[in-house]
Amino acid sequence: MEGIQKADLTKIKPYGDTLNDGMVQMSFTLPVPYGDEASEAAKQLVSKMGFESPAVVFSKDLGVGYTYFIMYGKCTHTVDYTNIEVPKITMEYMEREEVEDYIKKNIKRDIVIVGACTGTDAHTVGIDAIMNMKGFDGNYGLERYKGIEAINMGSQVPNEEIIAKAIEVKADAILVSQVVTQKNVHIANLTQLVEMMEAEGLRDKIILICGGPRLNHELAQELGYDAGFGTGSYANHVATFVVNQIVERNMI
Amino acid sequence: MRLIETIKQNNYETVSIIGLAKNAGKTVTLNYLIEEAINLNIKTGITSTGRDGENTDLVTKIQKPAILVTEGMYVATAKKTLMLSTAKAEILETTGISTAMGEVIIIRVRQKGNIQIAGPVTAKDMKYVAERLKHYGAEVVFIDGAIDRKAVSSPAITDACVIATGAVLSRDMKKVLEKTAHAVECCSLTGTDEHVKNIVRKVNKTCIISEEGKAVVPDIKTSITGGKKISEMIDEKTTHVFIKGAVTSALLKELWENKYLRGIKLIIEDGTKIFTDINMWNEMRKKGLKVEAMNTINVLAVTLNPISPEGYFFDSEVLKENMKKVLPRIKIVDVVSGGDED
Repeated sequence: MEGIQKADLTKIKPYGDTLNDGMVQMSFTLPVPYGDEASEAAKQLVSKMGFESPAVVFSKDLGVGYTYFIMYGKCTHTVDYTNIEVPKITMEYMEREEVEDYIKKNIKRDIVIVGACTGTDAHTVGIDAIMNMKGFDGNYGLERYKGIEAINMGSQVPNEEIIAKAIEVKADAILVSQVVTQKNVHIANLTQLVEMMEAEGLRDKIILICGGPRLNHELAQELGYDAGFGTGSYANHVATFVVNQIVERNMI
Repeated sequence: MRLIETIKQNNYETVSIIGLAKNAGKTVTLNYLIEEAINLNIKTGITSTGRDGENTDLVTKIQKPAILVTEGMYVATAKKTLMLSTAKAEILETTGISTAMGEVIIIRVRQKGNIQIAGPVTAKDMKYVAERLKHYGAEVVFIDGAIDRKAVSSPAITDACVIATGAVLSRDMKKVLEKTAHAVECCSLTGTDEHVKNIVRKVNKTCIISEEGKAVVPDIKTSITGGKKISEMIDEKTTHVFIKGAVTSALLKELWENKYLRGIKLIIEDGTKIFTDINMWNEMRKKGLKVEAMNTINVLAVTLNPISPEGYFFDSEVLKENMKKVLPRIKIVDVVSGGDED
């Protein structure tokens, strides 16, 4: 057998069954009744999207004159992977014990972190994974850290309440977990917290961090946060960032 | 008079561009102002509280306008964004201000090209950076806002602001008009009397002012949760109540329960501190709520983007005419299709 065929990284395209076949699976709903005309409409639409050989592999009547489709199509475009630059924060993350030592040596007091899912958001999986004692995937949460007082306010916390709490307990950092949904309603809620903290004169006194499956440092910048942690982040990543910032900003 | 001429004539040195939503046309407005300044040979400095000049929107993934800078312009941006820019620049200063995108540096453009910008996210750092841009030679500094963040338009940070609004706010044009009018109303609140300002400046905390000019400070950590305590201290002798910081719906509701509130004046720092529900605000204003500000925000113009990336648009003439009706005293500019003709 020949060696496995290598992809040309200057011209990558989707992989389906064989390299460079360009196969893409997509799904959508059309506001038309289920039937042959609906399938034809779906195929024409996928063709207009620029895909070759569009095919309906599954369709379902959703009732009320709507039809759901799963489609295949061949992508004809390529991307030069070797020329991609994504701005990232490069930081050496400390382990839990190292963070604890760092606090003891460099900050010499307990630090306070308040966290919550704010606004209408009730998806606490993320904030719980970072804050709770038992943590996630073998990584203990902030509650377990010596030298960190972690206060998890739970879900659907109004921005006013998290700010009031942060003032009450003299928080060093606020951690907001938010699922940014397709309709982007949560974006306005994230920016409102920033604006309220500015109004209260707190923004430069508290480290403000957001986290969630669609968040990253680049979006955090746009939203007005100091950092944004996405999928694959653990408590020690957040803790490293917070303790470094406390020292860097002289908040000791 | 053209927008840039108004800026020069009033000696505004820092101008913020704030949007009422994402994709309301902030960057188009910024580009428009840059171009106008270049035509008049005005040296500009630019920065952003968010991200600017990136190819695609971070949230909606739609195409975004590029920012073209020319030789001699000054820019404050995070180091890493320079690598993503085609403009060539000389680094004048590293500010030590850290952002999620890296440290903010100040540059002078040496060779024209497109640039990506990510400036300081906090209003305090922004004030410092604007000062530095002026120090190096920028006659006017433009600060582009991000999403719907408006804190940089506070008179504590910038001299004047341009408000970008558009179809993206709502499919219903009435709502677009209503939200825009509210934003302009908050900015343009009447300034309070000088003698009251003096009392407030001395106390510099949330306080209740009586007819003899005495100010009493309630025992609260923040006005956000202090509504009830403040309300209890308002009596028939009260003439003014000053709220430091954020004015929320809950706070306003608690104050409103005090029957004396209708006769007195509520004083806030400036329009960026208002976080109340629009309907509630409008109803209370109709019933006699009087609000004044320590600092009024100079709104130079409202710019319109009649197109929403969600796939609908308004007739730009109709939108402009209606906007003129609700905001008769404000300059309205359609930066997408028209520009500023007079």
